[in-house]
Amino acid sequence: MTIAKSTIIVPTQDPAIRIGNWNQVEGCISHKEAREEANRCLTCPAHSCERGCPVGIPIHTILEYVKRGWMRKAVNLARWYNLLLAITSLVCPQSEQCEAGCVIKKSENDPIFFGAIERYLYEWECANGGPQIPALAKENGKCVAIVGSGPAGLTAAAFLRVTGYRVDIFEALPVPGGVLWCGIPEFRLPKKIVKNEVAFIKSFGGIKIYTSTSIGKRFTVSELRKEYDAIFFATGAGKPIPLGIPGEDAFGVMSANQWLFSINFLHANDPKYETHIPEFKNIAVIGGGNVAMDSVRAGKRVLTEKIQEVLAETSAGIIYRREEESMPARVQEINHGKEENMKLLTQVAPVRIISTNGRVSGLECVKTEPGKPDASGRRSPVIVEGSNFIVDTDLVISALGNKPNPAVIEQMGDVVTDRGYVVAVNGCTSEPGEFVGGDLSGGGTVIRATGDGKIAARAIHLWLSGQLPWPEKEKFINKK
Amino acid sequence: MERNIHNLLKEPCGVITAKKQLAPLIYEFTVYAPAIVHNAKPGQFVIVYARDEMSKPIPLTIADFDEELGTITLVVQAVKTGTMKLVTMNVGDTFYSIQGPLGHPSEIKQYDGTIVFVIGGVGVAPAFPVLRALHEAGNQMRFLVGVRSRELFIWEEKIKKYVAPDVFIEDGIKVKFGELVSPVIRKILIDEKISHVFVAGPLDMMNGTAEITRKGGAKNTSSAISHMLDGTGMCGGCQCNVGNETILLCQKGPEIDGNLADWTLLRTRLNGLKKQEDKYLSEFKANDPLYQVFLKQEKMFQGGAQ
Repeated sequence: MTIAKSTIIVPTQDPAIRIGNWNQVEGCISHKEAREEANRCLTCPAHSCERGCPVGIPIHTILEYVKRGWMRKAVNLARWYNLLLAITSLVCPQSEQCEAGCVIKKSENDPIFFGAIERYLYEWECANGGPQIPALAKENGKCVAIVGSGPAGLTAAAFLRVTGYRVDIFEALPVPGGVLWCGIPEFRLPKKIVKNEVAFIKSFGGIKIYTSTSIGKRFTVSELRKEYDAIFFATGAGKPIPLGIPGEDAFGVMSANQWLFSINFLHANDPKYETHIPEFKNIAVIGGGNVAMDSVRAGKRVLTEKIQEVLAETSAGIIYRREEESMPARVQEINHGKEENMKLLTQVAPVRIISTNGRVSGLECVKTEPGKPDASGRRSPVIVEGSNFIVDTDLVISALGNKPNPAVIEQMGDVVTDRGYVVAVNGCTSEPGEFVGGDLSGGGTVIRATGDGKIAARAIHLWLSGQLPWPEKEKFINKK
Repeated sequence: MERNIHNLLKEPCGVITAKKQLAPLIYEFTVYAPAIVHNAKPGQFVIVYARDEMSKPIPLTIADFDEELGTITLVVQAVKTGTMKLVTMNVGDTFYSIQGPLGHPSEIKQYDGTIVFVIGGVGVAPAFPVLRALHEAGNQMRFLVGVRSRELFIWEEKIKKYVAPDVFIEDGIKVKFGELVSPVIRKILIDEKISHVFVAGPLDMMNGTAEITRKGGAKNTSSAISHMLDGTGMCGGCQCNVGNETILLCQKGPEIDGNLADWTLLRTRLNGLKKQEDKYLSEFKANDPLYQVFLKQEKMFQGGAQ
């Protein structure tokens, strides 16, 4: 039997046009396409797609519902496993997760593009009465504090409320959403979707979000302990890893956090807003992950908007020390970047920032070649001696990743940490009553964070109802 | 009512309850924010978004706080757009957002020897809670304040409760501005044996004072501020080099060791966006209706009172 090729065409904005706006790049497939795509599923007994999913979405069952046109059943089931399906459909690295395991792919055909179907389900839901609040247990009088309103915090809040707990979420910034709001740009994840999802979770009743309220400063963790039955820490990884090269203090070198926060949250690219970004002609982003892609593509859009002002030639480029195949970013993002004329310098590492009068005027780099495999199995790059060259740039963005903010961990109780992350055993920290999830415990993706939120919600419920003894400390130390 | 989290969360936060003009373009705001007062300590600051989401986050040191009334006091000198927007706000208005208390509190203890405050202009405001706390901790203090004109010395009465200030007014000869530190203050710092200096004022003054204390071997605590976005250590915009170590002012600051700080670098980073800021400010001044109303009030003050 031969399986038909995928017929879906995801509507995509023309690259020449989209670099001049901030609208979403990828659109949504049609109802017919979604059902045809679902029909390609062989319902193989291996369920390998589901095993590729960090939260184990029952993809086969959902596809079966979609095949039959039972969209409401499909979307409700998907939401039960992955509350933020609209968001993950846009940001999940599907090609490494569900699509990677698809048996059809193994026969050198297109895998089932579940991300596109997930996205369609969300659009269908929006057009058909919006999301439905699941059955909520009666409030049991207990209240849980959640620190951080990103994907992990929001998911945990929803599932705790379903189980009967009241929830107070504390967010340090003026808007909820965490990385979803401040980190991922509009062209990849529209703010409207984040707003809708937050409003949906708030509509459960019994969930309150307190913004501009930083835990550890406005209220201390010991105060939280007194007034709440449990605390879930989901503050993410907010401390940028520095480049660690000379000249990094110069004006015009900034973290991707600052760059994306200025644009996403403070609209620094919009002249109507009061926050500004430095003037630049050539932006160089160091790193190969999704944040690097977001940064460089945001840079491209800023440059296009200012094309009248910037008369000289401009460029937006990535500097990455390994080969292109090793880039951790989503394949879609790399391709979109290339379509948008992003320069890609791979096997290159920065060694020194060159500045004139305190401002960046160039970046000295070296070439690298693959060396011996490191602990993760990837071949660590080795510097090619004497291959130094200068990259012409006046804005350097470092997107080397983030670590949790140590100030947050200091506030927590006696928790075991590993390389800056809090060690979690089934959502518990080694301090009874304190739970952890998301990037603070080393997650790395939005989908992992939502999974952690759900695990923590379950752990909190089991512990507070006396069904789960707190894990012993050895377990945490052994897990390191 | 017990001041616990549940009760404090029910209270509004960031409502202006009083506004008072202290000097031309300098305003004192009393802001109802019991949740901020709750854990606030001298030396800490807040980040304010004045009107709406278009406003820029502005760090402001908490200049005073009243635990019983649940209010904090902020002193704002209108210089750039952010502060201009703030001073156009009136009693009853609520800030779009106010985060805080943020930053590292001042180290309050009994120090050996006299602590000399070197203050420029509105630097009086951030220095005040520190002065009061150090006074209560039993320290000997001197308060040297440099201002361009007598009326620009704010909070004279409040300061006098704790220390008799030495006021230096610009006369072009003995007290000259435009130099790093006015020559009179420089002379005091050099002639008298001083062990600890607290500086709050313009960047030039902090830089100049640091040059003197570095040579004289006095300890130097400077209250520095920079561009801040989130106030949680996420963006790194407020980074500052102290003793060849990069620190974040929103985390370890605003008080830093002035002797070790790289003031030139801080200035470059602060002034990096000046061109864009100036352009935005001139557009704001020309087009903002609330600013026009404010300007009339300001003219009345400068023409009438005092």
